[in-house]
Amino acid sequence: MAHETLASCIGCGACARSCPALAISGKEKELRVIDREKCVDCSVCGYSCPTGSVIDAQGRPVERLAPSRRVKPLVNKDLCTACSLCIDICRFGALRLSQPRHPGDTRAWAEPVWEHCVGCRLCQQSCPVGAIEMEVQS
Amino acid sequence: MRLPRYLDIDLSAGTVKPYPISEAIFRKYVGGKILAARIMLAETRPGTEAFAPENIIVVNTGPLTATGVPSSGRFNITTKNVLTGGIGTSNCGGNFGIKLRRAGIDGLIIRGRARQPVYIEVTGGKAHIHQAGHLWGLDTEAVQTKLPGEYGKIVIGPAGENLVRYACVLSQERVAGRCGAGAVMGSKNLKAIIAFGAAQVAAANPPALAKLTKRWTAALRANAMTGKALPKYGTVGFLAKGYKAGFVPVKNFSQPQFDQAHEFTGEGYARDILTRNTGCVGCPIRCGRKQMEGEKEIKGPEYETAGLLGPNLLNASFKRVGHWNYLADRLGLDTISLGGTLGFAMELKERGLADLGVDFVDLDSIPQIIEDIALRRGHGDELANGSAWLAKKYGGLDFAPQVKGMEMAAYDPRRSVGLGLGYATSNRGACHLNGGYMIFLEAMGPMSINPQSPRSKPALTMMMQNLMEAISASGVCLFTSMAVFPNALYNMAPGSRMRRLISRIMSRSGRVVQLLNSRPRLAAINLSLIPYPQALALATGMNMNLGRFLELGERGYNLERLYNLREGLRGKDELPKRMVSEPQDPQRPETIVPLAAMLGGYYRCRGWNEEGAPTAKKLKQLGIETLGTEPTVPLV
Repeated sequence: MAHETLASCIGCGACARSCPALAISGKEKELRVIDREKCVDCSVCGYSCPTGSVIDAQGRPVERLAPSRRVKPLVNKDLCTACSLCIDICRFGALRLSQPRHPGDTRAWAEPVWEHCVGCRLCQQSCPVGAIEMEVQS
Repeated sequence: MRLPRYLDIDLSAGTVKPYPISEAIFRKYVGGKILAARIMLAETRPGTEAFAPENIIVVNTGPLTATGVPSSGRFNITTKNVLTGGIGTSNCGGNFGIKLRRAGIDGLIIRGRARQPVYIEVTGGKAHIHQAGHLWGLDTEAVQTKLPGEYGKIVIGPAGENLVRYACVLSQERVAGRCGAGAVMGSKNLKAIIAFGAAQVAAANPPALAKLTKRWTAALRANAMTGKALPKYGTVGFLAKGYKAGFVPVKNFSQPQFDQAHEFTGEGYARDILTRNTGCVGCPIRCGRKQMEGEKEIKGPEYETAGLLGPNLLNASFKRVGHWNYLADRLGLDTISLGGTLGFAMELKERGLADLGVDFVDLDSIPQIIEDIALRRGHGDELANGSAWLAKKYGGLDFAPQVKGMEMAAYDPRRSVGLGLGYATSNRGACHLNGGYMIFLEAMGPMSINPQSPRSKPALTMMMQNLMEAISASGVCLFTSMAVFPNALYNMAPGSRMRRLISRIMSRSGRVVQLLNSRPRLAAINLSLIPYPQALALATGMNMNLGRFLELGERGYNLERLYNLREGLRGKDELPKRMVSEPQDPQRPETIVPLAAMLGGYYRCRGWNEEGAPTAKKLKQLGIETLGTEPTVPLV
């Protein structure tokens, strides 16, 4: 399963820049190619494409979606164990670890940094304790 | 069943090809260090030197790595042990293992030697070899910064490049320290391996594994050790217990007590030095420490480093230990072997046997010496070879703190004789973990099974070694096993009647434990306190239970032993004379390791002959089809 680009691609590179899996290659102004081995089917490439040139694994076109209309992570602090799997999987730095509240504080949790989020849901999928919900933030 | 995907990378030829792992091999050897030992036997010829191009490095994961199971961000690196000539295997946190599996690869086999410095990139199920001339010479921090940020990395520092015999490998701040794997990478002109992928690792039964993961994580967080003591005090929290039980090494294992003990404890560290706790990716325990050095926040020491660079060198300053630890990490030196070698060299000086530029009095010269070791300058060139090498040249073998050539961890075995047996029999040299970590049952953990008595220790040591072997091969951190013991045990007062009763029962448990050792399949059960077998079953689809899991560990231990025997390590299950005949506390003659009283029993428990070699019957029982003497044994 993987997303694909269509011939209408103008090679602007917006998809590659926003791909959380580094799955997209290609030169400027040339057709971008999605590596099937690397693609995680998150559709973010399609959300970012100005020409609607991405189809999903079922062959349906992916509609462009402004960053403000994409889902963003919300972390349940009580469930979060600060294991950092979400932080590690996000190459955009859209999550970070909280700072200790006082000397000797051992509790920490992941904090979202929404302005860096592309809405791929990888953090939610990687969380082993279900501490992350994804919602559109107004 | 999804089979592991391994790549075979030949640095001499510059080629990459798939290395198939058959279902039969996977079911039998599973992954991590156990599967790697099987590959070492199959893919190297007897007598291959550690630094020969024909030697291989196996970098692999276990089936639980990156599945979300707690503390499963582990990878393993196996090669010929530079210090012992036997099996060399080291397990590490960091994020490399996770990224490797997310890149669609479970393990790499690296052979040959590149003509110029190179690094390997793994992504999308493929590997590429790149030039690394611009990275050669950089320390481990600088090289990780220079390589792409998104990638998981393992790197070596100058020590590995200069073939320091205890050079290590780093991933982020975590270290695959032991056995000189960094030097083997250096000998292949391999500076780094990097991996990137964002795919979720597929499990055979995802919903059931997710449910188990949540339950397991909750249990770790609620446990007195993994949920409270380790996050709060880290492993340096073991120091206080160590002083009380007398197992902290002082002045190259020559003194029973440390005069400045009160200045050097985990509690004091947490109060005065600690900035925050941290952890490996994927771990809810978070036992790592952070401290300041000037304006920079650096990694704090683990217990081993603190013990061996602290009391072992008569040093009571965490600032110093932190600085030396940071320096050693950046240069790529194993701090256990470093501390053991320095302590030994200091005693050589004190006894007038050799002056290698270090002594117990002048600790200010240590940073310079550490750098000299990594760069093999001056005395550092000799210190870079480890304590056994020094003992051969200058004498002092009786008090060189090593077994088979590899230095002891920061536990004096004379106050935990089961660990002494573990050190002696451990396949990779004097390792507390590969040795079975009996000290946790004898002197450090929730019970104290008479630490001076050999009674029941052969059977218990064998069981602990097998259990830890299997946990490690699964891809999970060994610290999770501390939660096997319920809070009720941890919370008992040390001198309480119930605790004494449990310890007494355990000290008489040898026969029962041995029944399970000899017939592990009797334990065809799953216990919620020991979730590893069930997790393995849900991740892989294998038929797994506690008994099969123990048998897996035993199979691994025997495979490693076969490799050692093939490489000539026969009759080497020894301890330095100091440990077996010089009481640690002169007032207490029982503070020695009665190794002779345990070793024969241990071999009988294991089904090995009197030389410590597995019998044909044992190999057949475990389904190990190679005797390890063949030049190559096909894997599929």
